[in-house]
Amino acid sequence: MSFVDIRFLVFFPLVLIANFLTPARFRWIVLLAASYFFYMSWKPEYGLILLAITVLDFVSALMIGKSDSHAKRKAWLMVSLVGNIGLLFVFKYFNFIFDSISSVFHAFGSDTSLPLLNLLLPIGISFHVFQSISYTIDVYMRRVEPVNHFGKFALYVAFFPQLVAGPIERPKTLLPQFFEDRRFNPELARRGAHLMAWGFFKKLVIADNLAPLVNAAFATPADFPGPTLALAAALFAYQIYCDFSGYTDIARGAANILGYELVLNFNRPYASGSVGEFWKRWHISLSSWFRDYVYIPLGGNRGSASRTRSNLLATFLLSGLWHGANWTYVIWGGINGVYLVIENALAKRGITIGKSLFSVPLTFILICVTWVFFRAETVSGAVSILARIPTGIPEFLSSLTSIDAMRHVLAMDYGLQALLIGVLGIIFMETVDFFRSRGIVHARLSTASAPARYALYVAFAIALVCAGSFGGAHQFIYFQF
Amino acid sequence: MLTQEQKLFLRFSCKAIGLALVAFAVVALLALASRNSDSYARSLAKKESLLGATAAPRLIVMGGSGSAIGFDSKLFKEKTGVNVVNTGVFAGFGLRFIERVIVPHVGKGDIVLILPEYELLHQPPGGDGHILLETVLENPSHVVDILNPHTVVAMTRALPGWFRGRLESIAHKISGKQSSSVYSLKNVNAFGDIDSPLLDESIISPEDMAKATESFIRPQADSGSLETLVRMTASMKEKGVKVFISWAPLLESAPTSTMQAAQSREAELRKAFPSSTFVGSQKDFMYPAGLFYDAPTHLNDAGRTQRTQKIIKLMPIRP
Repeated sequence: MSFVDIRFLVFFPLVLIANFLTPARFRWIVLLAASYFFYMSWKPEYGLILLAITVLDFVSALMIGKSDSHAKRKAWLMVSLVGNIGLLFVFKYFNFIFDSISSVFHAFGSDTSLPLLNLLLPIGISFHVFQSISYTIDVYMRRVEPVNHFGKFALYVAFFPQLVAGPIERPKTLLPQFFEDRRFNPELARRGAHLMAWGFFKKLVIADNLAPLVNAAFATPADFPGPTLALAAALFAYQIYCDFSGYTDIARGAANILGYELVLNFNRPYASGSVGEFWKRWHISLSSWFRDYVYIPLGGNRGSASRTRSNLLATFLLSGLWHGANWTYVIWGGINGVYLVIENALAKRGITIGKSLFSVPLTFILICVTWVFFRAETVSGAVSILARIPTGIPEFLSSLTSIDAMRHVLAMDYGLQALLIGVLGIIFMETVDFFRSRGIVHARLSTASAPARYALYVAFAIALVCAGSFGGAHQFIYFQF
Repeated sequence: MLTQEQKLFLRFSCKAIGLALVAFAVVALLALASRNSDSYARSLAKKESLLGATAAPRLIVMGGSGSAIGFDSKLFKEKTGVNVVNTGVFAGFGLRFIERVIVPHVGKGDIVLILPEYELLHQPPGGDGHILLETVLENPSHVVDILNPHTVVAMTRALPGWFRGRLESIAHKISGKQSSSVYSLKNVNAFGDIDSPLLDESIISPEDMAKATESFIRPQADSGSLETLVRMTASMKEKGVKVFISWAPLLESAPTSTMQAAQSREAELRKAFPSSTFVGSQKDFMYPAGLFYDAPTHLNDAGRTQRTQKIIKLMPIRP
């Protein structure tokens, strides 16, 4: 079950009713049961993996907390890390590594192929493994105390709104909320409902309407001239943003209605004036995770300039690998790392562009280049798309003289209406988000009369129904990670 | 007694439900207001009245739109003297709907020719949500024949897409754009066939036709649909009805995988029914791209003449 599954329309109200009918001190049981039900609706076996991670980290953290011996604490931390990363390795990276080794053998003329595992990747495993690891590391670092309540810790790992695609919560922010008396808060719930509606808009109206063109262009790039591929890359940037941030908005909104708060994960990333700024606005919970648990422990920017550069590169390569077991993701991470290394080097020489009408589009273009690797099936596919982008310009210009040719070149065969709705949706979203970031939308909504507000809600709901793409089965892109 | 918190939650829920109901009511009103008196879905009612009015001996053709557009009832009657009622409307109705709505009209002495299109067999027997929704709105008396938990979910899923389609057609009407679709009630003739001068040509290129065909046939039928087909055939035979099954048109230049899927489908059907039930084999109903109209089971005028002639030749009935 996902948020755009019709079953969620039944599941979520039932969870709300059960939650608020239950005395506050037992609500964790309702939420834990609902979370496992939500996760196991994909595949019941997934519940066992989730439970295994939970038990492992709960016990490890307790043992770390109990022990005064540094060696013992470290040993239990290693148990947790090896267990979690081992699980991730088996499910996500085993085949990738063994397949890559086999490819090297083949390149040297050997026909040896290493055996591969036939396992289905549990949905969202990278998210909950990282969330769970952060708990044992924080206990080890004495940033948080280990909890004695297994059920509430299990809920921290499995909390259904953010279980499969984040935001990746830290024990310091989410765990204490399960020990507090979280009552129904009408103001928080209203904010949550707004966030959920906004998330559905991003996902159904923008991301899913852009999907047909993007999918077609990336599936058969040779059928399209360069400018169309450039357009597809730019639209993919928005498709993945609206898909992922839409999910996050729904997750945060659902948690709000239940009385909990999740961290901000996106903050208008395409308004960034540099790649460094982009990474402070994009998938913030993952970027900050890598900063705190990889980059800083590696030495961060405390060493020499070359050490800082290698730390940055290593962090981004790992971040790429976290996304998927494919060289395309590693290269995606690597290019982002190189961008940051260059930006830092320029900044040290006093060369900064600052936020301007020039730097924002430039940053967007640089990020779009990386998205081509992220979206393409293979590295060679990504390279061929990028190489093709500058080549079809004469064909594109000549096509502007004929409507039929233009329809094909602009990929209008793939649903002009959906494309137009998607593009108009982007303009609407960026405008609203611009005013939201200045607090104007919230202020206007709060001061509007009730009839005006409800009329707006109804109009928004109807627009969502009319403009949303409900036909295809578009799962959230980040579920695969 | 409700606690203060529960009262607040109840108030919030009532507001949310109220808003959802208002939004639903507006959408429903718009949907009802946008009903189309010339909708092709309304041909169902016309076909039911033809079933009541057509005298025996009669051939009742059952299937989807491929039957409506791809069978020449007038030609059949001229050559055999047998009256014809072509009941095919949409494959998306699903076999269960055909079983509930059409089969009760069939009685002793009737001859039934089932032309099971690929969708009819590979989709679940409950049907396609979009089509069922259109059918319910245009033929409200059939609500009882459609409603069950599966179809409610399917229709709810289809509601936004259907609604967008209605808005588009309203926009077309307002802008004065005339629809050139052959799929309208006015193009359904006295036998139930779709008959339009537009069917003279093929509006899909051979390349697109091959692509469309590739995704059209699955090697295995949905088990529920196959069961429904077996059950409805048996129940008609029990009533003394002669039942025949023939084959949907297939592009003769279809990709190998499609051909293999079609062969596998034919073998599956032949296993489920006695051989005397079948009219010819799949290879008797393969046509070049030029004989199709707009989709992999929709023949144009020349195509349906060829198909009907073949059925007349192979079908063991003489008046």
